[in-house]
Order: sequence, then C-alpha cells, then structure tokens
Amino acid sequence: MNPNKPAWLRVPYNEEETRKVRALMDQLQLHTVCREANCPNLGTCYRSKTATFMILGSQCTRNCRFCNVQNGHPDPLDPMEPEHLAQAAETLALKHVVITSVTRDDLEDGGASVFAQVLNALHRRLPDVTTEVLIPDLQGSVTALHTVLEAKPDVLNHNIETVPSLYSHIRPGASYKRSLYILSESADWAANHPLLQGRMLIKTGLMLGLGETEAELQTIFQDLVQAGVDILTLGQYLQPSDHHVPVSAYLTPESFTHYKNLAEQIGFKQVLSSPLVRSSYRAEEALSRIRSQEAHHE
Amino acid sequence: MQKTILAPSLSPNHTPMTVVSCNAEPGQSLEAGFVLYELETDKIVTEVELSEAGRLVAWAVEEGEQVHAGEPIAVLESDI
Repeated sequence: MNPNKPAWLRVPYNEEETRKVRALMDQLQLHTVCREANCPNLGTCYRSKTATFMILGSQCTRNCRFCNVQNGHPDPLDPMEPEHLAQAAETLALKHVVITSVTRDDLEDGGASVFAQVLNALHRRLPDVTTEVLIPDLQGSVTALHTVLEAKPDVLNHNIETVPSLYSHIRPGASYKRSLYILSESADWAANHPLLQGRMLIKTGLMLGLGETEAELQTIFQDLVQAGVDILTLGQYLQPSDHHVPVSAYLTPESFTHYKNLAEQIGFKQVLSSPLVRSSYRAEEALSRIRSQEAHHE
Repeated sequence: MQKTILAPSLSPNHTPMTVVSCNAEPGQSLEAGFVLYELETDKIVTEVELSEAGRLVAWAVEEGEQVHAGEPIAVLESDI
C-alpha cells in the first residue's frame, strides 16, 4: 500500500492540447513511452508538442517490477518505423528527438540496428536536430552497442534505474555491472572517437523512493562519474498499478535538491533532480546547458 | 450547445480513477484552462483543465467516486 500522495505530485492536463500528438502517433503507427509507461508528464510534454518515441514495438521481453510497459510476445519489426518517426519529428518541429525502446532480448542485436536506422533517418531528414537514445542493456553486447554509437547520437542514455541491492527485486533479468559497463564502454568509445572528441554525452537516471539509502546513492554516483557519465536524472518512483512494486517513500523536493548537490559535488556535468523528473524530461535543456558551458570554456 | 465532458484516458492499464475534487458549482461560468476537476490515478493526481469556456450545467460524478476513461464527468453549456 502506497503512503498518501504528497501535494507536489500534481500535474496539469488538457485533453484538447494533447490531441495533436496522439493523432499523429496513431496515424504513423508509432508508440511513445509517455503513453506506454503512463508517464505523469504526458500532459505537460504533449501540450508543448514534444514526446519520447518508443521503437521496436509495444511489447517488452522483460518484466521489470517498476515499469508499466507491457511484457509479452514481441511485435514484428515495422520496416517503415525509422521513416515514420523522422516524419513525426518533422511534423512536430522537434529540435531534439529522444528515442527509446522496449527491451528485445529476442533479437540478435537487441534492436541496435533499428536504433541506428532511426538515427540515420533523422540525420538525413532533419540534419539540424539533436538526437538522444535511451537504450536497453543490449545484454552487454559490445557489438550491438557499437552499432548504436556509430550512428552518432548526441546523447547516449542508459538508465541504471536503482541501487544494486534492489536489482533482483526491481529489475530481474538486468545486472548493475552490465549496465555500468554499457555506460563506461560508451564513454570510452566517445572519448576516443577521432571525429567526436568526447562531444557525445553519456547520461543515466535513477528512480528514488524504492528503498535505497543515501550511502548507496553516494557509491553509485561515484561509480557513474568514474564510468564517464555526464548527465544524471533523479526522479520519484511512482507505482503504475497494484501489480507493480509499491513506493517505499515519497521524497520531498528538498531531498531531491540535496541529492542534486551531492551528485554535482561528485562530478556530474548536469544533474536534473526533482520528483517529476524522468529520463527524457526536458532533455533538450540538459543538452543545451552543457553545450553552452562547453562553448563558454572554449 | 450542451456537451458532456468525459473522463480522459490517463492510463493504458484501464484502471479506475478517483475523482478527488469537483471545483465549480452548477450555473457557474468558466474560462478555458480552468481546472474543473482532479483525478487520481495510481501514479499521480491530475488537474483536468477545461478545453473551452462554458457554463457548468451539472456534475455526473461526486468527489470520491471512481470512474473509468470515457465515462461522463459533467455537462457543460458552451457557445460553440
């Protein structure tokens, strides 16, 4: 049973203002993680005509106990998905496009080649947009990871989600070390690429309120900075239904500020931390802030 | 013209939502953007705004009641 929801967990919603994005996604047979994951920010993001695309179908091959995306028999791949996604991004006049996916352990490359096709389609059609991918762990395959990296997203995001002690309970089928490896390998690849020269940013995120301790978070923040992660997102875990793991605690906005300060002291370039932060929430702002800082120092 | 306001689809789980508050009295004239009512899902409380201005005719629900997406919430008289 969840404790009562605190006053700060309120979001605006206007049916008419979300209609355009919904209709476009339906027309192009695209999915958004906003809808499939029942994101609390859907009303806010759709109102400002932005969304996070979810590729590779709507059915996930894993069954994480925090996530609302459906677990089931995976959908066949849609060969038109990359072009349709680029078309939707153009129609919405997006400047920064965020793409995530269900986990597809049934595919040999975990869907990495489709991520690359989507990035290539976006770069061809909209050469000025920036891109961000939020990838699954690809079962730790370095070949699959390189397939995504070689398509040169501006931001490579892989969520670490929670502390290692909660993995078996919250993320069955995943491994903290494997996720950390995905992040460190991405950072190394980007740092050593002759053309990128470290300009690809590495990002991760955690949900708070699952039962983690401050000491555990401090250790993870150190691991992540050492792995080369640039951007960290911290948000409140919200239980999607009675079938999901319950909330252990609702952290106050002040606690999120405390963890932001802690994470910044440890060395992240950018930390977004508040109850309603999600991994792609205001992603464009996080990227542009770092780019501005870099330009200032050059 | 009278229009029935229906509960939005806030969750793909199709789980019931609880009406937390009804924020106007029948007969009251309301602007577009006014937070007419609040719905609580498992995750969050959503403040549902009016998409168009109008006069509230009647509520179809009471505070504390559970509703599903597509069920009537209120009747609004609008100029359109």
